[in-house]
Amino acid sequence: MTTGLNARAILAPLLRAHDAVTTFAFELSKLCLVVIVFSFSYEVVARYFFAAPVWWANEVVSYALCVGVFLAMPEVTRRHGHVAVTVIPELLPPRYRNILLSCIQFVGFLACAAVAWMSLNQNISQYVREALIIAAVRPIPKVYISAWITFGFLSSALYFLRNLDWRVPAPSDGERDIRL
Amino acid sequence: MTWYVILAGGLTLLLAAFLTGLPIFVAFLAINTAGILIVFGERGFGLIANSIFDSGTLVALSAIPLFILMGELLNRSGSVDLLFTSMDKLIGRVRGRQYVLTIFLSVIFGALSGAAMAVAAMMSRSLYPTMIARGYNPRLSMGAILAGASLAPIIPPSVLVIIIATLADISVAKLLIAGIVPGLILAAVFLIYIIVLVSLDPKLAPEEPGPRLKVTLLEKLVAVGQMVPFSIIIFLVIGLILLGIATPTESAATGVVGALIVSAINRRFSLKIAYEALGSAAFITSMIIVIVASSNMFGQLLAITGSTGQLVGFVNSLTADPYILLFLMMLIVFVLCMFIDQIAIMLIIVPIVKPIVTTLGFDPIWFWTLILINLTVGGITPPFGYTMFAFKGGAPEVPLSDIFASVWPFVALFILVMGLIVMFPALATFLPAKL
Repeated sequence: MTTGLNARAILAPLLRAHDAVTTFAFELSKLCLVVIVFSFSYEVVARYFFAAPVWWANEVVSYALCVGVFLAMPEVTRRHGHVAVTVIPELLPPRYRNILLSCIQFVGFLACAAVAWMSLNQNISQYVREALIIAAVRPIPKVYISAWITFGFLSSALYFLRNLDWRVPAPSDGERDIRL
Repeated sequence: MTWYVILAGGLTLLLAAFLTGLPIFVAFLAINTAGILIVFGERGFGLIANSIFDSGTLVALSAIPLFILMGELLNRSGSVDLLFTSMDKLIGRVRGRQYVLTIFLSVIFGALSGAAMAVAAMMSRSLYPTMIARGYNPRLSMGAILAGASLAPIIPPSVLVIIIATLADISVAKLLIAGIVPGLILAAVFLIYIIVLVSLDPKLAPEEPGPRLKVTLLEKLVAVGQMVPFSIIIFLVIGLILLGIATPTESAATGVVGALIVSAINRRFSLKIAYEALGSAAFITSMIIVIVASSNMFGQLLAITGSTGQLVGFVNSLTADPYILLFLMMLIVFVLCMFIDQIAIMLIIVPIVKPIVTTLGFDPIWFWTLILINLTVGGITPPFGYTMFAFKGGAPEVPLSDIFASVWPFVALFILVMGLIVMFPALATFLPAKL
């Protein structure tokens, strides 16, 4: 009991820090969206009104899109916002639904953690090899963009873990005979 | 392992994972990781990371957040309400005018928003209670709203089109423009159906109280004036593409600027609204693109294992008549959409069907327009359809069974129009050919 309370006391500031990082990342993702709107609008105006197309619009949009999507991903996971077909879980009695939802959170954690690990390995390899985004007019190191994918999946994995609840409610009278 | 075992096994596992309630992106990641482990072992993990990077940095997908942001700005600023009241004043004294209003508004909302769910949710909160209060038939009212809302992904702008065109590797601009004529035909067919039904059974639409409908000429002119700014947005999105001035992604960005201008003209713009719209757009975009990025490897895996190539050979040996295969492909999509989310279906179907379309010699714009309409119908086919659920969210007192019953006649009308497009491909290909 005391150990559990101690663990919770130690974890609480870490969880708050995780939430704060997620909130800040989500704010940055909104900024990425503003960058996309500005870049393309500027490109259209520069090209058609001043006959002066810019080289950077496509590249900036491509980077802002990727960074913005994966900065916002932990917030989507925190708010349980990912698209899922929930018809079957909703039909289950609460007891079994809880077990299924916990399994879903666990699989979510495993999948996101695995991808974060794969992506991190790629980030390290890209950093060591000094890999560049070669399709760009002015190439930049690939790791500058791909690192945010690792962030998105790692933070989401942590939220799946935090959302895990293995406590199974006791069956009500009406549920006792139901089998999965 | 033979190709059909890989294909059937992969698809069955994926569909089963969806039905357990796993987030769709997690289901794709789990199956893809398992597939990569079997085919390449651990050394293949880099492929998954790279496929996510490639999808995440795809410029064409940037139209998704922009179209969503445009709709959010118009919705949150209340500009859409203005459109609603203006259109209400312009429709004259016709029997069943609320049904007519629903369809007309749907077409305009379709040209301003790319998501059926948003339109269904909005109309279920605004139009539906009015229709019920005035004694309109609840089922026909729901059916008209749901069918009308389903025009949104077909008439540009459309989030679904961006994803289909990106996955199928065809022109986003052409597929966007291809939706205009079928969208308008669908609206006309809905109107004809409703008018015929109301004339056969007048109880479906009671006489409306007179004084409410007495609108002066000045009021009508003001209503037209209030609707004019919205044409700026339609021009910035559809007009710029048709004129060849901007790419779809660029036109989406100018559409956002247009939405800001319209909100300002209507004196409904504030930084708070813009901030909220940005948050909503960032959230929904992340939700969608994470799924697209996670699914990318699935199609690649099928290609690497040779399953897709073998399937094409098998399909070609089945029958000489490509239209039978077309019917089968449409039937599979239709049935799957009854149970599985449209985006998930699209991400599974497109990589498998893409090479078959090429081999059969179908016009890709025509074929993917048919798939687009089919997927859109998936939003209103029971028992699982997001558009219906969005309607239910706005009208919680309506039983789902009533919503289910209301949509079937309109689903039949969608199928009828799809049949017309099969018989007259020019309906979908005429406008894109002009680009």
